[in-house]
Amino acid sequence: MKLKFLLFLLLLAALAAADTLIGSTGFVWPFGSGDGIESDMARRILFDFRLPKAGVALLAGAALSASGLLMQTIFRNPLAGPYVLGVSSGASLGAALFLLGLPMLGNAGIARDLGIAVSAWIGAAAILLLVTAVSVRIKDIMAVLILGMMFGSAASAFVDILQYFSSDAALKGFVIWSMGSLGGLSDGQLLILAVCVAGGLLLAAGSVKSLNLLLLGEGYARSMGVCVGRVRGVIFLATSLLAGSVTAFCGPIGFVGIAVPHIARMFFRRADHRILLPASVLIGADMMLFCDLISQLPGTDLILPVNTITALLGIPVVAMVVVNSKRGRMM
Amino acid sequence: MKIEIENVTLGYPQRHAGPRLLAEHLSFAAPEGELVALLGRNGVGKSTLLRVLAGVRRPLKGRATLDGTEIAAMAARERARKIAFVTTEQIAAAHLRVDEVVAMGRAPYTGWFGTLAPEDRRVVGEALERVGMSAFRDKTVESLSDGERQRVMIARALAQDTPLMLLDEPTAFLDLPNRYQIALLLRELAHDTGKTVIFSSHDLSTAIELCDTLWVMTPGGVAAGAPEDLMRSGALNAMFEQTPLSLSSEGTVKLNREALHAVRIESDADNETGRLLVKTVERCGFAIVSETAGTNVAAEITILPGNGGFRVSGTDNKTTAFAADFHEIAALLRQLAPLR
Repeated sequence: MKLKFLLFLLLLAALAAADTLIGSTGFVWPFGSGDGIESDMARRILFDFRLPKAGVALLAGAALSASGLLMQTIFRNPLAGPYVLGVSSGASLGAALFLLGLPMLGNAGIARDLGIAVSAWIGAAAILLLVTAVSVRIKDIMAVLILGMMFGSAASAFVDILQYFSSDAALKGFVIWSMGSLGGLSDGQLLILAVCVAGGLLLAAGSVKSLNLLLLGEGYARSMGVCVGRVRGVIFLATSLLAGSVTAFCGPIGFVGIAVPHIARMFFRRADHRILLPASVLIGADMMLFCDLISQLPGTDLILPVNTITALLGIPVVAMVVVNSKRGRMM
Repeated sequence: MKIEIENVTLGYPQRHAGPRLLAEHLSFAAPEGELVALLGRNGVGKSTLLRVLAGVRRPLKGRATLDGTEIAAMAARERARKIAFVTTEQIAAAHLRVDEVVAMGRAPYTGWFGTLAPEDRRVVGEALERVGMSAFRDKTVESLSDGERQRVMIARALAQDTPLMLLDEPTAFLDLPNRYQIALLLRELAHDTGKTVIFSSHDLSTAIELCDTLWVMTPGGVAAGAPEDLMRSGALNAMFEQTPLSLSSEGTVKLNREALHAVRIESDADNETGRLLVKTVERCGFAIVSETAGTNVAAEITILPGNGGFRVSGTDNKTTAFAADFHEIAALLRQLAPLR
């Protein structure tokens, strides 16, 4: 157990170093003997661009994976995740409403960043509530999943309509946001993201015991002293914070949240959230750094959107889970 | 430890109508340290009553109390130290280990992280020992059979260390030997540890044989008492109202059918073959008479000496046939008077 954690931690260090040192402009070594301009240039690429980007990748991977784990336990649905259940789309809708509806707030500044984040949280929480309302009434996992996708599509459709009716200036701001990637976050945005992710993870860590009891079912959890309503509220807050802020600043990133908890279960072969939560956070950060690394390998001029890489890596895992759950095994 | 139900109304709120009532004005008390079976037909409200007793749902009216404190008003953690509940929920999580599940029963006693103290570990070990699952502690729950899994859930309830244990149909998916073993285990728990153990069940024979008290739930209310008392008062038979079933004095259920035709058996039906012959004839829907005087006698059956065969002679058309076994007798009787 400890060995596995150590392994993933070492992998994290290696990937973080590689992601920082290797990029589209090639390998950069800032501590070399190079003199003057060249060395200065390398340092700027490294510290102003690549290091924050690696930090964002780490935070986004950890946050999405943790939110996926929380959703899978709360909904008792192995196929739950922020992207597939439409929470990311809800966050996008929130952000779009803010950006297109209030373009007069100016182009930059911490107020605007915070506004995007808060509206993304609200959008994420709204979809979460909708999905919960459905899953209380419908116990079929696949039906909830399909409805979640529908909610997500509806949210995206609203975003399209909003764009259609927006002014040019507002639209420009929104389009720039919607192309969002791991890079290009301002210091203020990075700070908001870090604080939100830390807050969400703390809330999740405080709920590990209740999450474990919820594995047996709501009735069991209640009978063992869990206030199910309160725990659900805390987990919703955590999920909205985690998935909402990542979507607010990086755009929707798919299949990390749903796949990583299953990878953690595969490697650690445990159901205990005291192990699964840190494992998901660690593996999620690993995976996101890895995706970022191969999205911009040196030697080619191509920079792939990180979204496509996460989908390619995550979908096989999800497919495997679907096949297993149809065979009767759940999580 | 005193459990009382006071003027409780059970039911579900409905969206476009008044609440659907299952039972009204229930008032009774649970005996201490006994094994109680809650019997009743599907939909009569057994699960709802158990959930009210467990405090996971409120009654529509009235109150359920434990030592005078209303169960629904207790703080969750305090209630979890008084009442353990085994529900019908299926565990959906993979990789969950047996000892982890049982350790969850210690939740009302551990801190926010759920770390087990040495005392908690001892209780978990004892609970596993008690249900005979110590050898399985490192196995995953999904690898267990239904009976083993039910034992694990009972061990979890034991680890919760409560004076009251409730179980919702703990024997539902089990085979006959397993059903007896689980009921026996619950009986031992009640008698050895002084816990009050209440479980709902459809298994009448196990309940009559092993339980100290039965609660028979009908739309009219709950009748409580020892199995024999309820048999004498006819309360146990109330479950079978408006059904073709009735309870015999030995506690077995019989199908009542009005026999239109009768069969006369020609033998001293006192041996094993004779008794089985009577059973066969009754199963085919015939009454048994000793005289052919009645007009509705369809056949006479004679047990032939020696080879164990039978002679079946129809009284209408005077045909005679021979049957080698009970299966052939049944086929002949069906030809004489098709069972409706």
